[in-house]
Amino acid sequence: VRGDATLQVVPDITQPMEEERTRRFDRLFGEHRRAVLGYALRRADDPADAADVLAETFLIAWRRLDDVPFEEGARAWLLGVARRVLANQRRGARRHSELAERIGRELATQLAQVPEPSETDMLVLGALATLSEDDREVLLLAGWEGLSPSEIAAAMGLRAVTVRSRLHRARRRLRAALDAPGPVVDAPATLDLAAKEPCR
Amino acid sequence: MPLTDTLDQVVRAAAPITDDEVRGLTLDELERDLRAVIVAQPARAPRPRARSARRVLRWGLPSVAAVAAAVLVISLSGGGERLGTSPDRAWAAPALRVANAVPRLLVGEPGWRVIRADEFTVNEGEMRFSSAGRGVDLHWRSGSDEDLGRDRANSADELPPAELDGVTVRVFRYEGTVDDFTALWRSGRYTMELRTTFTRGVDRLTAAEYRRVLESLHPVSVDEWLGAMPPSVVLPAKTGDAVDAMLEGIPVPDGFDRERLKRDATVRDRYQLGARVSGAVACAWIERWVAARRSGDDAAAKAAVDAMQTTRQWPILREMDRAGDYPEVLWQLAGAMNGDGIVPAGRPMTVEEAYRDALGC
Repeated sequence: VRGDATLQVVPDITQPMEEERTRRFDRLFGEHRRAVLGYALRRADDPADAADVLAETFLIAWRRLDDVPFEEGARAWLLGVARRVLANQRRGARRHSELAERIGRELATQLAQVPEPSETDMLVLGALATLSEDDREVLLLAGWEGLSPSEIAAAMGLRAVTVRSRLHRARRRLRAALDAPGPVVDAPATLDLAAKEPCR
Repeated sequence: MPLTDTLDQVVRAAAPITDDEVRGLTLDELERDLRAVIVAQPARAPRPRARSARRVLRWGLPSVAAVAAAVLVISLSGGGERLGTSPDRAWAAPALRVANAVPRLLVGEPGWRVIRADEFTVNEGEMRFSSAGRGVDLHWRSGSDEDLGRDRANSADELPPAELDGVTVRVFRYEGTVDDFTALWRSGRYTMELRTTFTRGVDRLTAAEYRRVLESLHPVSVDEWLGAMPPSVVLPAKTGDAVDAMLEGIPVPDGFDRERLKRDATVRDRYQLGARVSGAVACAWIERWVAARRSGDDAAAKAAVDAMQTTRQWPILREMDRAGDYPEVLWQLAGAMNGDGIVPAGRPMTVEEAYRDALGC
């Protein structure tokens, strides 16, 4: 009986640690899986690519769970990983796992219900496409993901002061791109602030 | 991003899919499968912390490069005055102070040049090198590399180290990528980092190319280093004149300390200097406005509002307006001061809540 008691010490220590680890991952996955999926869907060409980014990002999070910041920092960390996974995916051959293919097919079906971008949206997307990747990404992490400059800095591995500076410039460049001569499209009222200053 | 939500809202509206639409997707079963597949994978054992602590300790010792750099600084300091009086290389004492203190490195690979150096001080700075659209950012920060090393190791795989003038350089590749590299090393009291950058439509550096660029970094003289800066950089020698010129025609509140702006030894891009100068004036007016409203001093509040209404005519802001959004942020604050005090944003904020963060007061 005493020997059993001694043997039980090992599982008593490790098992709770594993359970705690799994619980933490589950919280992370539960809270942020749609944020990561949204990030990927807004950028990937193919829903299966987005599913791959989701799977790969959380696999990295699982392997590096001890490195994932707690609370507010977790989302920026995950989006930073997703960003690099996506960049890597764009450069390499795309080999989806069977599960990513399944998720991709399901996504493709459901995404058919999402409204097509309007003409104005296309104009904005076109203007965004003319920016450098760095400029575009800081704008999109702010505009699409709603990250603060500090969070963008964490996601992109930059200093917050650098991010602020890039945001200022990227917004100006986006305005300039939106103002560039092109097809006449009714812009939303919110675009009014673009390029109406007397200095131009 | 409280003050520029209008443009952010335009960007947000153009998102191919919204957060609400993503949340509305019916994927629970597939996500459960995905979660099960992931947690069935072996987890990585936590990295031994003691190893990195030993590294830091080793790097804390004087390196060959640090000694070499010290020798270089000593030999240059004797010639500093001569450089300072050279007609085409009029580096002022503050610039020399920065240049003498920081590790002055340039990329030695053919075709690489400095294209950006927003601002830097003795304590930290960064500059971007580029060749044919491909780039690297070199950062220096005074202090230990322990936190940075831990941060990079947390999201990147450590590759075999490189060597730079006898100093071991930790090289990382961000996990999930093939070509997103960064490297950390110590140089005297500084932590140095060389990070790959991205340019749309341009292949990034391969691992071998990145290492070649990294290993081509070499110390240069003060003259060569400052001479490599892009033309937009305002060196401290000209900061005083530039500050005076930027303040011309701008109403400043009584007691405004313009000399403090001139004393700054930071090497800055003209845009950054403009933000500092215009921001200092705007911050001073807004602070007075906030105080006046609190104390019920209507005349003082109106004087601040009137001063801020002139911001659209400030030449430096009009110049900066072509390059970035700092003026727009400032003008939004000025507009709010002249209206109901609320800055239009996703979550409307008062000027008082927003101005410090927005302008860097």
